[in-house]
Amino acid sequence: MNLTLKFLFICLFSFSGVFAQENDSLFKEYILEKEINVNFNRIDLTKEETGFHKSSNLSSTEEILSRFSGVSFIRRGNYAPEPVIRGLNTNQIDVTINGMRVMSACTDKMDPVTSYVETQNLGAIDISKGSCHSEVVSNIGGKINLDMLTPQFSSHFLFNGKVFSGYRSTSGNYKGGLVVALSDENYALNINGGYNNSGDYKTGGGNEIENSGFEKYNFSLNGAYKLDEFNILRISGIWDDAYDIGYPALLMDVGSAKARIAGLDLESKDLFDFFNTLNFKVYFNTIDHVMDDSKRNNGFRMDMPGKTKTFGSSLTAGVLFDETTAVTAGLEFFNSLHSADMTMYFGNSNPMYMVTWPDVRKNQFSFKTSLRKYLSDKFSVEPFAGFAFVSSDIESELGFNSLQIFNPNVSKKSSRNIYSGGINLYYQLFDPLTLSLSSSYSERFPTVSEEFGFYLYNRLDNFDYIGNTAISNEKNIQFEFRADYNESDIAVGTSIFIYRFTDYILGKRMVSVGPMTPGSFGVKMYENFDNALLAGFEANLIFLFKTNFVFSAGISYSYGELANRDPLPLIPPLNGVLSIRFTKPDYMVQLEQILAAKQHRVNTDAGESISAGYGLMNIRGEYTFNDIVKINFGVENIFDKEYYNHLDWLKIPQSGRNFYGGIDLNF
Amino acid sequence: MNKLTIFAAIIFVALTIVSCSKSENPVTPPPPDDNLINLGTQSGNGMTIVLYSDKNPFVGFNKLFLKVTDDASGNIVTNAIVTIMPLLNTGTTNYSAPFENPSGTSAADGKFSGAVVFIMPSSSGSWTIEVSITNLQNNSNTNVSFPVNVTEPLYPVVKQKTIQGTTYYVSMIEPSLPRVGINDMVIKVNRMESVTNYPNDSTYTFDMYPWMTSMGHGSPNNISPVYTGNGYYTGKVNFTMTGDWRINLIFNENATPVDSVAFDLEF
Ligand SMILES: [Cu+2]
Repeated sequence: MNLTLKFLFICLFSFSGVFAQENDSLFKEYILEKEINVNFNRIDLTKEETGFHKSSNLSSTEEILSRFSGVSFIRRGNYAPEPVIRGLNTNQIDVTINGMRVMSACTDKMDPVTSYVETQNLGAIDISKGSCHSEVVSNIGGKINLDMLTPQFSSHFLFNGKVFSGYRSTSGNYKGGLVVALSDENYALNINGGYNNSGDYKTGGGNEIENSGFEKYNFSLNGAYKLDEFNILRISGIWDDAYDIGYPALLMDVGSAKARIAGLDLESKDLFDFFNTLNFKVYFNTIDHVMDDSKRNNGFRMDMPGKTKTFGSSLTAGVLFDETTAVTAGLEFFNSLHSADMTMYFGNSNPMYMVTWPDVRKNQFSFKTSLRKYLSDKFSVEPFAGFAFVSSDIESELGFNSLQIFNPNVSKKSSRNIYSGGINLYYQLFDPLTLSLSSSYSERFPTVSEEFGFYLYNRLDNFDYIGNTAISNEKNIQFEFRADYNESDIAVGTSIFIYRFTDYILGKRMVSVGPMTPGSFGVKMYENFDNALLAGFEANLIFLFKTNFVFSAGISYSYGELANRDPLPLIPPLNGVLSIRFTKPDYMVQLEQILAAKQHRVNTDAGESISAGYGLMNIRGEYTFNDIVKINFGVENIFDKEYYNHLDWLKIPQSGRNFYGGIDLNF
Repeated sequence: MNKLTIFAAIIFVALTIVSCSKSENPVTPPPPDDNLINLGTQSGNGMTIVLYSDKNPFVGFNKLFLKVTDDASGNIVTNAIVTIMPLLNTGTTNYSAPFENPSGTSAADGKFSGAVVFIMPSSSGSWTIEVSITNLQNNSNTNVSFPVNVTEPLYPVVKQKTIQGTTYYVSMIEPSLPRVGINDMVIKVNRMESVTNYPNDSTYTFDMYPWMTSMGHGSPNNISPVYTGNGYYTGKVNFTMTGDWRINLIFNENATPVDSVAFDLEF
């Protein structure tokens, strides 16, 4: 049990690598990690023996994430879909990179933070669903943390790496890159770079979707330096440039999207023989998003650039008091600046300029703490609590004056507080079966668009959206029950959750206000809605049989409704993945079936309509020739089905039959 | 090396404090109000009179200022009856225009202020401002005349409208410097009784609709100008973006639209 506690402890702090236990079998570790916390999943992609999440080198970060049950994506094109956990989107979930806050710079949600990490520099993924976890302090729907590769020290000098490249047929998608790792006793360095280029893709049946290609360069660097036995200094950086990205479900495309992300971490253990772990982090990043419609025939021209700048710092500490008691605490601070504007050109008339995000500077400070206490061998409790404060300054005079039109009482400086807290109870009924019950209260700050946005066009419902500076924080009470059954060859996990919202934030039509964007229906302002409900379940099964076969299945479902019984918008339908994998030392074959049911619970006010269900079959394979050469290949959407998911905006069908192949050369 | 960790913690706290205590933006001082334009000096009966305006005279509502100095004492006269009268001589006809005499008999900040709505540019004839002054200190009296050159602005800010046989002049006084956001909307309405008599008028109520012609949209939450006396109507006009805007004003008689005028502007 002490081992489990320690493990929990390590995972809470996302300290992969050096402090992790290495003697466990990798598969067992995968199972164990699933067990340790009700809503917390950490998948170490470098260790994951099942290979379930990372299907090939060509997989994007989002494709890996989509294999977690309960995670789905809102798609506006073939690039940078928006992650959704249990039907809650990036307004309600936090996405971080190495624990660093990175702020999306697009007012139209074209650049979720997940789009800035490529799989060649992705080391592990942490997903917390809901707020029943001390990890989540400032949001209600959960958290996705993308951990970059953790370079490993070695007993003697090592230099190795790989060259990879691959091709996908329907979009002419080429992806290639280089990974180089250097390490010694006291330092380790991992540098990688990749190029990813895609043309317009074809749907099932062969229709080409215009404006769906992109081009991307990504470089990243991760270094570690062992200061002494107890302290490790880490640096990480991402340089990500994407160009000419098409978003067929929007009116606009992206000329360029650039991210510069850098961070410095200090990991200490056994400080003062008291803090078992201590992590200090400072970071800085900028996102530069250039959106325009120069490739469209909208009858006018629009430039809508957006920018964010963020710097921050955090300090987390963990103390293992005795074999049954662990305490964690974290302080976080960040400062972010959010700017966006719009210039429109109609014929020969003067350019029209408006500020859509009025240079909002946020200073956010938060504190969180949790306690895990084993009351007996079988029973443990984990209470947690958090607090966050944010101050928002509107720095654009023009933007402030514009906001006054709709928000006569807006002030240049404002601040908000949120509180969260809850408890997890774990009970081991008998050896492989653990039951857990969680309850929490959480709040979230409104997003910059919800609070300060100005005429942000939403193509799904064809309305312009206005921020509401008087809006209240969204609040949520959650209950979750989970049962996990884990044995060496079988793991089953199920959870049932119910979320009750107050002050749920949603757009409401302003009947008296006429449209601005040509062709739109009108204007909506964000308002609080009372008593929204979200409920659902997830179930997962992993079954190892005849040593060479792994069968896995996952299913998830969410049901959402507003007080007036209208469904919540953009809730994924019942969906699941079935897969069977056959593994031999030098090759692997996997067959997958992806299923989504019809979604008939739609919110027509939000521009939704009923979506059909679908089933897809994929086959994947890998063959290792020798230590140097490894290939992967497969066919996605084998039956070339024309399909779309309910969360695909404008029901633009996804990729048709896709043949792919790739090669890795290791050195 | 534990010191390093403590150091790190100090940096964290320092960063937090630095960022939270970011200094306030300095308040920009208001511009000096004496940016007035000198339109000429005249003297008579021991007084020197200087005429100022806040902008070069243009077709539309102009604020005028008069500074009167007593030549004998060199003192500025602050207690006087001052009246003005605009005159336009086209060669064939003598017109006047809507105007406002200085209110009261004391000069605020040493100047008497009035206003004139020039209804035509100087290319149509020669404009003069006829000024009459009675110094209440010594009851001395003088009449002087200032020639002024009136130009046409890029976008007209006074509109002539004939409704049911009566001609009205609608002057847009504000917004004079339009900006994105909420702007004051001030108009003044005068009726032409004769070519020399333009009394204030409150016959009509107005509905106002700003419109961005190139894009085909309006703006929300405007307040149509309502009558506040002396021919003035005030309200609020909102511009959601820069560009070319048209402010449509509908004349209502007993809540029934009878006619309209529109002012174009661009910023
Ligand atoms: Cu964008």
